[in-house]
This record gives sequence, C-alpha cells and structure tokens, in this order.
Amino acid sequence: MIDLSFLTEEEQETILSVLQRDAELKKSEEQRVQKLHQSLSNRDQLKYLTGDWFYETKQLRHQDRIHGSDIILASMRHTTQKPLTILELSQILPEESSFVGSDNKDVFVPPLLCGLLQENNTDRYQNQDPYDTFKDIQSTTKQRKNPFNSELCAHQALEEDHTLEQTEDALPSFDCSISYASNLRQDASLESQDASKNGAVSTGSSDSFADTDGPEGRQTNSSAPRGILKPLLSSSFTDTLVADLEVQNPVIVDPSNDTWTDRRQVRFNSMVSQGSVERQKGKELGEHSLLDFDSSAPSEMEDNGLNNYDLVGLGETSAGTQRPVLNQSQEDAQDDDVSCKNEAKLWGQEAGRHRVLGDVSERWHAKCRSPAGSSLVSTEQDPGYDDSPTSIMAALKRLSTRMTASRSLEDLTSQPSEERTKYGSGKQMNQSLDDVSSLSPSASYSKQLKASVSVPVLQLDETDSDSTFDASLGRRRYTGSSTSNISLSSGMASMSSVSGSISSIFHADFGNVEVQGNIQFAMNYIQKLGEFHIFVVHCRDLAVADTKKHRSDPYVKCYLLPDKSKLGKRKTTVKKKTLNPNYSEILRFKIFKELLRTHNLNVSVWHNDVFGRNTFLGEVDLDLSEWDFSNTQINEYTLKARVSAQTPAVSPSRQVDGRGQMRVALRFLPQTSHSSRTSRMETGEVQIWVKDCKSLPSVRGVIIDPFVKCTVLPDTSRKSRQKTRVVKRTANPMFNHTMVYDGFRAEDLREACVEITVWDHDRLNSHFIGGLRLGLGTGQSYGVDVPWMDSTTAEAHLWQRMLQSDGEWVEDVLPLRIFLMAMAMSK
Amino acid sequence: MSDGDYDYLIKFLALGDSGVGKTSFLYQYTDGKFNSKFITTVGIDFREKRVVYKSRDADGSSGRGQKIHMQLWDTAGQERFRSLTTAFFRDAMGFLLLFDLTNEQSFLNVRNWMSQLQIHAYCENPDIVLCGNKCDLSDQRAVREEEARELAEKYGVPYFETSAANGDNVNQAVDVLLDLIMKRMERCVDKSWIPDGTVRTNGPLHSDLSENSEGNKCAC
Repeated sequence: MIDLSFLTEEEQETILSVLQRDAELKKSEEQRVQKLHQSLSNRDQLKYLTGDWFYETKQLRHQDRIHGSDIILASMRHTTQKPLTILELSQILPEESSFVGSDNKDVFVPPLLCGLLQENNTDRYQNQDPYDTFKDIQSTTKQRKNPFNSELCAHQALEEDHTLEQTEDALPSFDCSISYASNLRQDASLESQDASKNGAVSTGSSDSFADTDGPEGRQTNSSAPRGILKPLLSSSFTDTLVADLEVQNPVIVDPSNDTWTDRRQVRFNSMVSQGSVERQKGKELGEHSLLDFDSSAPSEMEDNGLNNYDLVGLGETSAGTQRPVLNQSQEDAQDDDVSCKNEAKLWGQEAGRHRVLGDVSERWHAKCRSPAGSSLVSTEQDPGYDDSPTSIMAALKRLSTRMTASRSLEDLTSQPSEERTKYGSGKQMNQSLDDVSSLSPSASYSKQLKASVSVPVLQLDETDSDSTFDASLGRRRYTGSSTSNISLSSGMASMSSVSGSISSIFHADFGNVEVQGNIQFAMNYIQKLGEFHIFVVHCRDLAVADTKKHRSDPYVKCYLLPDKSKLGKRKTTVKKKTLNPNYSEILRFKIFKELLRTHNLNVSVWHNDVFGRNTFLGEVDLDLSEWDFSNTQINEYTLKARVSAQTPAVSPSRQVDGRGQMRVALRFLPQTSHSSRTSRMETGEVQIWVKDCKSLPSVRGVIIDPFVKCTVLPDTSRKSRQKTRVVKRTANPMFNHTMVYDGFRAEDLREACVEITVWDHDRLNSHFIGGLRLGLGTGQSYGVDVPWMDSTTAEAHLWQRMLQSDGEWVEDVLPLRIFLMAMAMSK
Repeated sequence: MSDGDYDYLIKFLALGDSGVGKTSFLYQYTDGKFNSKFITTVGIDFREKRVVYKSRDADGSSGRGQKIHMQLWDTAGQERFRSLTTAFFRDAMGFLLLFDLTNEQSFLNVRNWMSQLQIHAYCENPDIVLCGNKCDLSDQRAVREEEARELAEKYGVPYFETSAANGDNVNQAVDVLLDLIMKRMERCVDKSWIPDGTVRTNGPLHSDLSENSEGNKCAC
C-alpha cells in the first residue's frame, strides 16, 4: 500500500482512468491467454505466448500476483475510503494471476498477500468484469477479518484466513520490497514512501536476516527478502552502483536491526579461485587457530613455515588489520608464505573485528594449530596493547607480562589453571619461539591434521575457569613429527577473544602418544549432598608421554558431558614420573541426580607437561543414563583413544535426540548470476531455509534463547556468516529464515559444506547447542582432507537431493549434533 | 486495439527525469507525432501499439513474424510521483531509460534510475535501452556522446541518441529493446523452440518493425 494522499482529486481520477484502461487490456489479455491454454498444449510455446516466461522470472522477486496497478488501486481505495485489505482487494480485482499461470505454489507469500493466493478465488474471479473493480472501490464494505497469524501463513501460504491487520498505518506498503519472498514477519513493515530506500535496504541486506516480530513490527526497513535480493554490493556491479547503494545503505539500515550486519553473501568463488590447492591448504591450516576463549592459556601457533605470526595483531584488534608481523626469523616455506600472509591478514581482520568478549561466549575451544595470524586473537580487550612490536622478542615479553595482567579478561575462566601459569612466563614464550624456529618448515600439513587428534569433547561453553585448555587448546608438543606450535603470546593474551579467525577445529596436537593402560575408579551419588562423586583409585600401565625423559606425569580429569560449561571439569593432583599413578582422590560434582542421568561421564588421563602442553593419555566415557548407581564398586576400565572430534561418545539415542532437531530446506538455483550484463558468470546460489527446531536441550539448565548461525565452509570469513534472530525462551523455536549464498558453481557445491549451528543466546555469550553440516561428507574439500566435511548420512543425503533437484526445495528434519566448529563464530 | 488478436503482449516502461521527453518519445513512437507543449504526466500513463516482430535466423534470413501488442508505460519523472511510479516497475519487461542531452543533471541521474530499476524491476538485470533525447537541439547539448556511450557500455545497455521531435532513432531504440526482450524470452523458455508462425498479414496500421539495426545475434 502506498500513501497516495498527496494526489489531488483530479489527479486521482486521471490515474484511475489510466488504470481502468489497463484493466481492460489485462482483461482481454486474460481471455487470450485462456484461449491459448485451451488450444495449445506445447508447454514451451505457451510460455512464450502467455507471457509466463516473464511472470516466472518476476515471481522470483516479486509476489507475482500483484501488479503495480493493483497496488495503486488498492492505495487509492485506501486513500479514498476505508482501508482495503489485500484480501478484499483480491476479491475486488479480477484474478489476474490466471494468465500468469504460475504453477509454482512454493513461492512464499508474505502473509499480507496470502489472501490473494486463495485458490478458491481464482476461479471465482476469472470472469469478473474489471469494471466492477472500480465500482467496488467506491462502494465496497467488506467485512474485516481477524488479524492474520503470520506464523501460520509462513507455512501454509495458501491457506485462508489470513487477513491483514486493519489499521490505518498498518497496511503494509506494497512497495516492491514486499514482493520479495521473505520471512514471515517483515512484509508488514514495508514503507512505501521510501520506495527507493527500501530497495536499497533490501539489496544492501543481502539475504536473509532476522525478521522482526510479527506483523506488528512495522518497523522500518525490516523487510527481509529471502535472499533473492542479491546484494547490489556484489562485486559484479558497477562501481557507481555500488557506491550508490553503499551510500544509501548506511542511512537506511536501521541500527536497531543489528542483524543486518553480517549478512553479506559470501563470494564463494573468490575464496576458492584465489587460491591454489596449496593455498587452500594454507587456509585450512590457517583456520586452525587457537581460539579458545576461555582459556587464558596461550594458544599456540604452529610454525608451518608460515612465517606470519602476527603477534601484534594481538594487540591491534580494533583495527582489525592484523598483519603478519613475524616475517623472517622463522624458517620459511616460501611458497606458503604468501598464502599464509593472506590468511593471516584475513584472520587478522577477522580477529580484529571480533569483539570477543562477551563473545567469549562461544566458548568452545578451538584447539587447533593455528596458523599464523589467527591466533592473533584479538586482544582487543587488552588495553594499551602495543601496536607494532619492533621485535618479536619484545612483543613476546610484553605479551607475557600482559598475559598475567590480563588474566581477568580471559574470559571467564575464573580459576587459574596450572597450564596457564605455566605459560605465563615470557621466558617460556621465548623458549617456545626458539623451538619453533628450529622446526622444519616442511612439516606437512597433513601430518598436522592427523596429529591433531580428536578433540576433547567439545569444550563448549566452558564458563568455569577450567581453562584448561589443558591440552585442549594448545598444548602441543614440540615433537619432530608434528609441526610445532608457537605459543603466541597473542594467543595467550588473547583469551577471550576469538580471533575471528577461526577455525580451529582441531584440538591441539597432543603429540603422538599411543593410548594404553587402564584406570580404576568408583562412582557414587550422595543423595543428601546432591553430589556425584568419582573416587579415582589409580591408573596402570600408562603410555610414556615425554619420550625424551621417558616419563609421564599423569593426572586424571573428569567432565560431565555435554554440559561442560555449567559443571566444569574436575581434576586430580599430578603424580610425577610414574606410569602407574595412585590417586585415591575423590572428584565431586554438585548436580541433581536426574540431570546426571542425562550426562556422560568423561574421565581422561593426561600427562602434565612442564610447559602446560599436556598430552592426552587416554579416556573413558560412560553413559550415565545406563549406569546403575547402586554400583559403587571400584571398576577398572581400559583407556581408550580420543573419540573423533565429531561427536561425543554419546549413546545413539542421545545423539539423535539429545540435541534437538532442525527442519531445514535447501535449494540451489543454478546460473542466477547477477553480475553485470557485460560479463555473466555462470554461478548460482544456494538457499538455505532454516525453518524451525524442536526439542532443543537446555544447555544452561534454564530455558534457552536460541538462534541459528550459518556459514558455508570453507569460507569462514565474516562475510560468510549469517544468523537468524534470537527467539526467546523456547526449546522449539521457529525461525523461518532463509539464507542465501551466491557465487557457487555446481562443482563448488561438492566441495563445500553448509555449517548450521544452533546457539543459546546469553547476555554475555552464546552457548553452542548443536548443529548440522550439510555437505557431501567426503572428508575432503578441494583435494584436502578437512574435518568439517563430515556430514552424517542424513545430512549428506539432503545435500545430495538438493544437487539433484534442479532448483526445487528439498527439506528434511535432521537431528542436531555437536562438533567443533570450523571457525570461531563470534556473534 | 485490445482485441486479443496478437501473439505476444509486451510491456515496456519509460522512465527518467522530469522533462526529458518520455511522453513525447512514446507519442512519437506510437503516433508519429510531436507536440512541443509540455504537459507533465500525472503519475502514470500508457500507450499501446501493435507491431510485427520478425526474428532473425542464424543465417541472416528473416524469420517468421509475430504480432506483438505493446503496452508502453509512461511514468512521471517528478519526484512526488516517485512512489507511485516505482510500483509499476515490476510489471515491465523492458525499460527505456531516457535523459535529456541538453540537461546534464538528467544524465547524472541515470545512475540513480538504474539502481531503482535493479531494485524494483522484475529481475535484477532487466533489459534496458538508454536514450539521450533531444538530439535535435544540438546547440544546447550539454552531454557528450562519448560520455553517454561510456556509461551505457558500463551498464551493458544499448545507447541511442534520439529525438522525439523529429523521430530520430525513436523506432530503432524501441525495436532494439523489443528484440532484446524477444531474445531473452527465447532464452528463458526453450532455446530450441522457434515460434511457429508463418508471416502473418499486418493487421494494424504500423508494421514498422524491420530488421533491427543493431544486428543482435541471438544470444542463445
């Protein structure tokens, strides 16, 4: 609906008469088309002659049953008399869509326009005399219906009973933006007046973005075109255009709508095409940054011959322009240099932009080898951080001092951990640096990949001070076989921040210790205290962790999974120099018995390294739902190797149901490139329609505020990340949010993976609940082994269906699972 | 005129700053006449015309002709009608973007019009023909041809220097646009299907659609 009150009576009449002529033309066209449908059977021919070719394209963008003239008519009606609902309008006007002949009922109809799609109207109005329209406009007194239920509409676009709200200014403008198939809500808030603005907004926003609440939310600029709007900011458009839009955008984007921000579609191609495989490799490695927000522990960086250690970067968070600082000293893998540099830059920028903090929230330890840059971790929080250390050593020194000072920043780990202290000294850092430099730059990446063994089961949301990253992040050994890590001071200082950079999916490399031995412990639940006790007796026949010194200094650690964040870990003391340590210690967890039953007990043994680079020596996982608590005997368990990073050792049932499920639809539209007319790239777009989730667990123990984030791997840049709005207080949120990523060629889809993650929003940080990785699950991307191409059968099946569906939506309900994120996603 | 006796209904829309000559341009095209009085268009208007389109085969010989009924929307250039006119963008299959060769501002605004189109049109890359109108007023010219051509090339659109007053290039511009649409249509539907039609008799008065001068090859 457009506000046409500025028109004089005379003008309105003039326009009406024009519209009248148009209606006549439309009518005769309609008749012609009807005849054609009857006489011609050739589908293609029909498409030509009926004009369907046009309407089909149009409906991708606009709600195709609304012609401009309809809008104006409606607006006039509105101006002259009582507000006319679209429903009424549909009843007034001839159903022009008849000759549109669109078979596509899948077009999402904004609730506002639902009325128009009523099937039963179609027949009714086919023969309606267009002249009636005008009479009707004068005299109609249609009954008002109830405000529609936008939620219903979202799913049942064609159902009846949807009407618009009938308030003066509530009538949504039929500004073109409406026509964008969008998420429910927004349609309401389109503003006609700012047609151009809206347009700009829509385009600027690229695709999906969280919509506002319901039709009531007639906020400005809330239209969330379902990703159909290719960002005019896309690189293919002319500069001027881009400039224009960009100019418009800032004005338009409603600051309150902070979901606007990272909604740019990924330029997937650019990511890919820029690099050779090697670069890709580098990138991946790069992605293994040590992101562990929690841990104040230093994150280590690997020296893969990547020389770009942006120590400082650590400091320069705000600028987001972290440049590799260390360029020389280390050995070089010349060829990697460039790629690393770029990677580092990328990460650096990302890191800079990540305001970690609060973001620490996503506390999942990304333990990975971090390739240079990223760990740069934004030490944003670290005040007064130097900008550019003149020398590495100097930087390290500064960092080390800061590290201790900035402990508090490090998120939320309240308890200092042993490891952290160990890293505290600058001396160590220097040492590590030295070590690094001695490493051969040619350490292969693949080795590294292998070396980084399974990650300790997601240490997500670790709010407790257990930073222990312990091994988690970054304690890697400087062994010859694995690439070394440099403990970046930055990493250490970083804490809390996530270097935007990402990815570290892997846990730190623990060295190549083959797990052996067993552990004896007993379990008991003390009803009176409400505590769960684990009496750790001893371990026998442990592996040697420190091969140089032929010793291990083991300790035992326990987690209750999956809610590690809430409960944290418990550790025994360290028994030095023994492979058969005796503990006789009790580890306690305060937890309700019922809650306990939904957890897994993870008992792991670690070698405590002097430098805090603890080595994993084995673990045991017990599903407490199947545990007989009356069994308080001491039991012996054989230590197992690390479970794969992908899923925690959870019972199958838990695995499926424990994290909830998501209904998601996908489609790939090939060759919808929106590049400039002069050069058409044959790329398509992937559309991901996040519909809803069910049975999300309460990771925090209280009702959750879920939201969904999405990125397309291997692109882990900020641009790739999109997210929905937060739905408060529900374990069964409905998002109905579509995200679009363009720039894909069909072959890219075989190498990419859409990582969708569900989070529980908390004031300070978000907690990972579960996610999906939609891809082919081949384990490889562009020829490189990657951990995130690990789609389950169901996930891969859905992806496959999308590839084969030729632009049609494919949908499935998939169980969410836990995994280490391929990148550190900040909010 | 709207007797349904045609093969295709094609809708175009003329847009551009106020006073560049959209109404005159269309009037010249449909009626072959020119009225120098300036009457600003109230919001929106349209004209119709029946033409015959002959597609060119690959070998250059003229193909069958199809009857096209053209609905040519004429939009008001004035700012105050902007919200109204943009609502009609979605309905048009092709656009004639006009500016005034004697008015530099109108040329500078072409950029804005282009973005408006990209936002509101039925797709992101609609067929557009850029026309620098009033080329007959050579002594008042304020925009150089090279500049305009450059801009047109940047956008990848054909450019014509037209005159609604004396008819220069008016037909050509519209013909080119029509050709673009027909070609696009073919691409959209089925590349192999060729309209099945013998050359029909030219029903309406004007069948002035000759082989287009641009010589566009079929892009299929």
